[in-house]
Amino acid sequence: MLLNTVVNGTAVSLDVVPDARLIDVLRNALGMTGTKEGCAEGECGACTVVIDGAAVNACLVFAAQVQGKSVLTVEGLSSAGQLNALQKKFIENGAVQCGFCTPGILMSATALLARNPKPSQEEIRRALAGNLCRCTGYAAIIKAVAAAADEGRPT
Amino acid sequence: MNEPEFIAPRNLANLAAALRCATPDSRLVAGGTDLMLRLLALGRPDLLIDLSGLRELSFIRQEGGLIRIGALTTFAELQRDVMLAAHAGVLSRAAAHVGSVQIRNIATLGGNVANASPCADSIPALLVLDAEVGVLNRAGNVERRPLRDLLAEAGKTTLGPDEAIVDFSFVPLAEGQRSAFVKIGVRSSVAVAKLSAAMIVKLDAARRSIAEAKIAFGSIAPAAFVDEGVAAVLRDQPVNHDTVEAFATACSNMVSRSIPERSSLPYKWHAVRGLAHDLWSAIQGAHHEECGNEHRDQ
Repeated sequence: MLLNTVVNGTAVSLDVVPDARLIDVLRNALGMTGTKEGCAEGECGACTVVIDGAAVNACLVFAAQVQGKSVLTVEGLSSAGQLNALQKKFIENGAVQCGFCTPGILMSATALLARNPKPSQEEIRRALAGNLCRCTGYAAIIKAVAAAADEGRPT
Repeated sequence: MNEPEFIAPRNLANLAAALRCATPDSRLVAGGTDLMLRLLALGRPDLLIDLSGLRELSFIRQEGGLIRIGALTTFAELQRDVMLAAHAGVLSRAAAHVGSVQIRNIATLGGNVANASPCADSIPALLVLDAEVGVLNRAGNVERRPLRDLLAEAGKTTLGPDEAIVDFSFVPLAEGQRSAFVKIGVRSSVAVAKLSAAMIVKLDAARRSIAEAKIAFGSIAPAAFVDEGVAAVLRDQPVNHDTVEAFATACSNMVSRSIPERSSLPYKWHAVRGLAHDLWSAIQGAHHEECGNEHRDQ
């Protein structure tokens, strides 16, 4: 079937099988491997992308369901080779170790900050509760999101 | 197997037409968060009917003395609805316990019920609210059935392949009724419930004894159920420590009766006592609801 959607601001039109997962279309058909597959069952959040403003697990969505919608992946955060403010804060705060969970956490944080530019610590924790990180212990991640919020809108 | 056909109806007439093409190997997809994983076991469908474009089935409203909720309403929408928090707090709270932000943003009430998991968070809440389910058939007519009649066994409803859930309706909580939902899982988010319970209680005017009680349990039997025996232990009893202990004991006895053969019995027999205490604390904290105020977010 023909899928018409917008990925990182660019209109995309491609043929997909109706039961293809969004994560597979992003990674394999579009070559956007920033979105990671961890558990493949919605537990870890590594595959989080933002669909029409809402954080969603790309491993649990059919690509066919983003017909006519707008998808933002981690590749869409930087522009002209420059990381955005949120990404820079992750680096400054040591919020990245192995980095596998980082794209998903960035996308959960991006959805949060778009809706709630000044989140409390508790709101940040709750927004990231669906993302697992086995390296950092989360404190640096929460600090990085709070620091980005202090600086204003991340993008 | 061949790739499935894909239909994305835009209105109920289109949906009824799609249902006429459905076979037992066809699947309806709403949020997809459960279906995606179940397809691994079920195999490739011959037809996928994508309900996610049916915006007309995404609503929460009060109508003719009832609260009506469209089947495509997401848990995120349920969780943040102020009217629902004030008049059916038990369902708001259950919605807030579903999965993670990512799951709640896309998973729907209709999908949670249709998937019929024994540990579905919304089902005990809808059961204590005596919810009715609107079911669209292939002829395009909507029939109303009590939710309990839809629940067959673990992972299975009584719905035919040519039927779709379109909405839910129930009477809002009355003045003085308090409600609560609690669950036990291995982590606070993204946890499949090991035990869950929903309860509605009304105290007498002096708030010294329990005038009414209704309770439903999830994650115990193959389908969630309302338990009259446990509720009877609370009814007409004074609000005190002894009543709560008797309630916890009744919950343990209910577990023994429900799953005598299961290896999880020793764990659940103990754990349900904790669940009973959590439930009672939540009911005591639910006086905001009684006053019609907005709920604190849990």
